[in-house]
Amino acid sequence: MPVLRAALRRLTIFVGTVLVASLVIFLIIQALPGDVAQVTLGVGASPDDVDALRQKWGLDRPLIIRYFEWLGGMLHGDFGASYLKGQPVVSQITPRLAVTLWIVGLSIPLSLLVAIPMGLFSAMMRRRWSGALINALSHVGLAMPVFFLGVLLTMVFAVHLGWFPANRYVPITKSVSQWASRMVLPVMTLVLVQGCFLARYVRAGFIDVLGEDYYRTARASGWTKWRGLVRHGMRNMATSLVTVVGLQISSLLVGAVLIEEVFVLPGLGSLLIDAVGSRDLVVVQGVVMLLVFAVLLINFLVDLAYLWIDPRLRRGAA
Amino acid sequence: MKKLTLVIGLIGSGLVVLAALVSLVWTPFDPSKVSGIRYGSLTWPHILGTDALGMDTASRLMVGAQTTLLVGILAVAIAALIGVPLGVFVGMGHKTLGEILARGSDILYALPALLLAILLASALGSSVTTASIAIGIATIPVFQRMARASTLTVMSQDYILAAQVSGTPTSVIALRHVLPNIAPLLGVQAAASFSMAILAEAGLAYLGLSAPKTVPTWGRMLRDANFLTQPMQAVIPGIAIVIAVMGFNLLGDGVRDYLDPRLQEVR
Repeated sequence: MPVLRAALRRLTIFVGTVLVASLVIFLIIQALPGDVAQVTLGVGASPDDVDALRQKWGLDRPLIIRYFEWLGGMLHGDFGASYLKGQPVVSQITPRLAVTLWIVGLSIPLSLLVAIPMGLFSAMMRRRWSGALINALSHVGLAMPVFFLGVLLTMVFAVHLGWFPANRYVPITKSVSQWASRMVLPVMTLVLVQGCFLARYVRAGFIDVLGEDYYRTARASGWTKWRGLVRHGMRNMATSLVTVVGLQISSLLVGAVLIEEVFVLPGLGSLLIDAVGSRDLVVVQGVVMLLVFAVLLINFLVDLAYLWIDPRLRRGAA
Repeated sequence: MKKLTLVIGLIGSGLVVLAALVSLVWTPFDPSKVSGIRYGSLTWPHILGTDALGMDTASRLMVGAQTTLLVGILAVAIAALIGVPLGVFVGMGHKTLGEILARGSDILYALPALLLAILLASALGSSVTTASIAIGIATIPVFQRMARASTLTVMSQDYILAAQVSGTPTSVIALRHVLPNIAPLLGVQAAASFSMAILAEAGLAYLGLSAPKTVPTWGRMLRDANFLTQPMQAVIPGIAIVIAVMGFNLLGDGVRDYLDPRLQEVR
């Protein structure tokens, strides 16, 4: 079973990288300047008080023990407790993770729905003004900062037209319709920007296919341009598209913080920025580890997706 | 069409450079002093209006171009100075080291630049320098990969073999044969990375993770604008960012098409 062996090899690399990453994150966080005990008690606190607090929080024990405690805790879902608020990190992360996951989870598939037709059209029509126009549009989208587009859409749809509310977030558990009306603009913003970005890869992928022998053969045997591109182009474009989409998901998990700022959504990224601001290092450490884990997991899944898409990889190689 | 790309790119990037250069010697008003009424509209002499404190937007926009260019230059310099030697080094041999570096750059490549910037800003305090360093580090893998790939192409050429056979030291081959040959491609990459760095810095400034409030930056101006009462104060810096990012991006594309006709699209 060469497929299974290849998959196992990738799994081993994935687990190893996660472990190395966890150690690196732990060490970086420990090396950050600013003693949390000192910050909590204020500059005027006596050194004895600071030491006592450090002892209470277990900060005086050796690094290696604290690392393994942290790692072991995470394996059964315990990310430790915030020094400042005393509450478990997990209970802070969960509601915010939901917000970010909704934004990312909705915008990625929708942006593909925009990007694939857009890229296919501008590849087919690249010698006509209609294709050039689409291509120019995607260039503008590529240069558009998400927070600027978010502000523009808010100005038009929330302030001017009054179609959607622009005020505080409502969880889906409270009211589905209110939640949905507040998700439209953030998701639309991301879909437009991501769609333009992905469309450029789709376009380049399809243009490559146009130069291939198998495409010429398909055309010569009487297939139409569109049929040739859709039937042969899709799978060939898919490998490079999967890579890009994987990278997009990773960068969006953190990058969503910009959208969260514009639309005042309580997501994971804003939790991270708040925690960094208040030096709540246990929270920072937990969120960063979670994000890095997600990024590595996505990379692992992308690797597996190659095996599924590209039959050449299944036959033993790599 | 090809020419159009280059021309638009030149105009866009040229405008930004011009604004930054002129602002070094002249701005309509002092960009860090209150010079008009608060929330001024777009009328003479404040042609782009004034912000919530009454500072002249046109002047701040011009000075903001300096920050934009500075971040681009710093970030690309960091990424290229570390990424290119690593890429060339690995491309010219060194298998084990290459494997380790490839893994490392995979991880760095997957790490969102924003995460790096947030961590760095929390360690060193937020400033233009930390923002540039974070963006620069996150861009290293881009240059390393490109340098490695193009070095491999150059190394398979006959003149490299000739140089090796005649006993030329590896370092001389790297400096005299490899670097000059991969330089044009790297230059194009630099333009693309430059525009991405500008976009990333604007985001960091919007989050308050770049320059302090006293230094005018476009991202910060957009954030501080109250778009309910003064929509133009948000739109103006936003458009400036789009022009800069698109300008340098198209400049890179245009130069690449000009340098390498083989990259022309199939008919």
